[in-house]
Amino acid sequence: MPQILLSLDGINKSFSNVSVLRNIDWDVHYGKVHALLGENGAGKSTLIKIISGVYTASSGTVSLEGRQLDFTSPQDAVKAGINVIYQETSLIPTLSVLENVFLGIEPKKHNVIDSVAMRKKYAEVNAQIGIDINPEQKISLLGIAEKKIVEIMKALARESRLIIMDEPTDSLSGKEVSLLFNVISDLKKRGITIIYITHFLDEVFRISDRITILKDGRLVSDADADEMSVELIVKSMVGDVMKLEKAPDYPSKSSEPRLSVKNLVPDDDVPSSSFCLYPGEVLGITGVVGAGKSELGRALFGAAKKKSGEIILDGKICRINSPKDAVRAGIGMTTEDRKDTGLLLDDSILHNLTLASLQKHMRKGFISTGLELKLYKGTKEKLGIKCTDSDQHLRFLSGGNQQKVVIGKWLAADPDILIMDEPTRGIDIGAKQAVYQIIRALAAAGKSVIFISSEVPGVHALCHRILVMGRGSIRKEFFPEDPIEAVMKAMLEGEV
Amino acid sequence: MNLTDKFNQKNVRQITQKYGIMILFSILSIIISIVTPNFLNAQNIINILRQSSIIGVMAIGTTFVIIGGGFDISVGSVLALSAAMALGLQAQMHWLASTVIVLLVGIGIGLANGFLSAKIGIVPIIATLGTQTVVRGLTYMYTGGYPVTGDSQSFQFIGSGYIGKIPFPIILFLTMVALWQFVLSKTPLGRYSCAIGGNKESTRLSGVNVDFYQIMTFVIGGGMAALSGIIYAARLSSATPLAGQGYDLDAIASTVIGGTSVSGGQGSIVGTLIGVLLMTILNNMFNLMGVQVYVQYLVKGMIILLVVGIDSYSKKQKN
Repeated sequence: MPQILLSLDGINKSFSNVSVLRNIDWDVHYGKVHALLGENGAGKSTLIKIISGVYTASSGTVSLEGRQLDFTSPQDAVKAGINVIYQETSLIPTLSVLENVFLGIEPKKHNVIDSVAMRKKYAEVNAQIGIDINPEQKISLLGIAEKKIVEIMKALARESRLIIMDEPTDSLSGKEVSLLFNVISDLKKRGITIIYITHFLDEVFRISDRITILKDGRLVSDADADEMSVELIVKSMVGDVMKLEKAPDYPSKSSEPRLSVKNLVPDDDVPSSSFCLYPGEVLGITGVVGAGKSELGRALFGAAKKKSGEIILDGKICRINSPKDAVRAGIGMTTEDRKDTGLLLDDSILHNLTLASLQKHMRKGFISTGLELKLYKGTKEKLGIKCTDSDQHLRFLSGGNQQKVVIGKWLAADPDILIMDEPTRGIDIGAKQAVYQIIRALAAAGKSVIFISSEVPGVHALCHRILVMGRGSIRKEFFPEDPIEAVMKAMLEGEV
Repeated sequence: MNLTDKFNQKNVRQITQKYGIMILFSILSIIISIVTPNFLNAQNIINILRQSSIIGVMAIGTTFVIIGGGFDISVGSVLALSAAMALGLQAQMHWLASTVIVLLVGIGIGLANGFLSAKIGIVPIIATLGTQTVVRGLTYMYTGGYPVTGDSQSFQFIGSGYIGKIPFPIILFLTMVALWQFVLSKTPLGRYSCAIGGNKESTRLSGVNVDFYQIMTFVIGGGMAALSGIIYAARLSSATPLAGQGYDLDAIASTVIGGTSVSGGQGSIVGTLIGVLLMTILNNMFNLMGVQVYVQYLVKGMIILLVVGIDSYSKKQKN
């Protein structure tokens, strides 16, 4: 039996000249549980997609038991025994457990599905995981943990040897996590190898044999779990702290808060959050994926319906039930996913820039192209947007320039409070620095910024105050003088 | 290749995607005009414009709906109902009053279409398939299944009158093109319609009341369909309950040939004007060549599939 199941050799991957993975050498050991850690944008997803045939590496090789792999589609990977269980379920909700497990590989007799053979095979697969799940049950009636287990059975039915799980415990309760971990240990005993992506450090030590850490597309640590500690992991993940000037002085604390959020409940089953925001302040909100950062921002902005809570703006209770209400009240928000919810990709820069402030660009009741062009010129210069002209469509701009257009749109609306959800995601270092400078300038002009990000170094360097969220609620408050490691640790520990 | 070259190349692509279909059909019409003698004389051009005016007015509304990300296949039925009512109501009232009522009915149907699509969340093509049938049924109920006629001379002016040498429907049509092109490019209603069709969620998150503006596009669609029904009635002085069948398809075809993206977000009224003219020219050519009506259906359907296919496939490639 070979020791090494899967071997990555010098893997590089870049998307339109932005390097995402750099020279990754990694061995995945047979029958072990490998935890794969790293911040958002560290390259975990890309690496997984290369292993599972979704992407092809720009250079480097992947080999399974010494044989070089040449996947051109995810189907090839499945045939080779590699299955991925994504965060979002891939099961079809209207079909039964049985139908899902054998989807596309139904045993057949004379070209008709052989349900006797299928049930027999299901019993075998079900026995392997040691939890009874009714094969007739519809997927839509199952809980999240059960769905994960059905996905595992689906992989087993395909004779999987390597199962990759992306944040499998993201929305599971403590009890469900234990259930899943039991299944994983059973699989391990049967010689199935697991790659386990997570943000939760406590889980890493409970379940994994080896721990691998990615940072900025590089593999920075790969060791046995018992050689690692929480401190070592945090140190590897922080790395060399980015050189960014410390935040300028905190705005005068004596001033009244501009915004007070009281007992805001964004959604069912989530505890309430309360915080305030001062004029000229950059307030950082950080936490791992699923910590509830975006949900909080979206509820505040009226983008999602909130369950309850009070928003007090300049001392007055403010009713915000839609983004329109928020914009009227002087609140803007750049969303997490600029392509799907921030921009009109197939429209011009000009039209995107004035979308949130059209009323300001009108003369005598009609849109004034002159005023729009003036805004375009000013914004282009101020934010350094690289484009050919005002008619260029957003689709043809780089991620960083797209992000600048999103920000420019809100600067044009001139809100007192700007909520920015992951504004530095997926943009290069230069653009990131530019975004930081814009935020600084806003704060210096007396505006308030809520900076939502899971990139701790950026949050730590930029913000006057940092709130760390975990599993839906605000856990801890930090200040710039607190060490970055403490923030990172609080974020990774989440519930602990 | 340096950066500027790359950008220029991209802009060229942007332009060909936007106007490609129009360029293609312009070439086609040039060929037709060479092949068909007397094609480009003034009388023939006026004929083509006049024939285009009914579908053209309807297609203006359709353009707004499609730009806003919707779809409206009820406009043919709306034409039938409004043509019948415009003539029928004249027995009880002045023709001006009946015209106003008919326009309001069209707006009302547009409001219903918009409400069903934006507020209830029915896919627009299905919502308007429902109203298409309902309105056709109302037309039968109103007419009792018989043609409705009228003989008001002043009403007939809308469809058959002249101002100088130019038929009034052409003036009305071109005025509508100018008016709605202006609304599209110079008012928040036009700008937000484009934005909603481009990305409804992004637009909502920019603080725009997206449901209201999307409903407004359907209101324009219904109102313009009613106006086209009025021109129809005024031109023929008679309306059957079967009037306007297939017009919705022609309006949609003209719109997409004119460069409006079927998935919404981009388009222009002037483009639709060109699209309508091209469709009429094509119809004329078929008639001159003695092509059977059945074959005309076949060709029209295939043109729609081709045009929409190019648009959709290029979008698919981009993603």
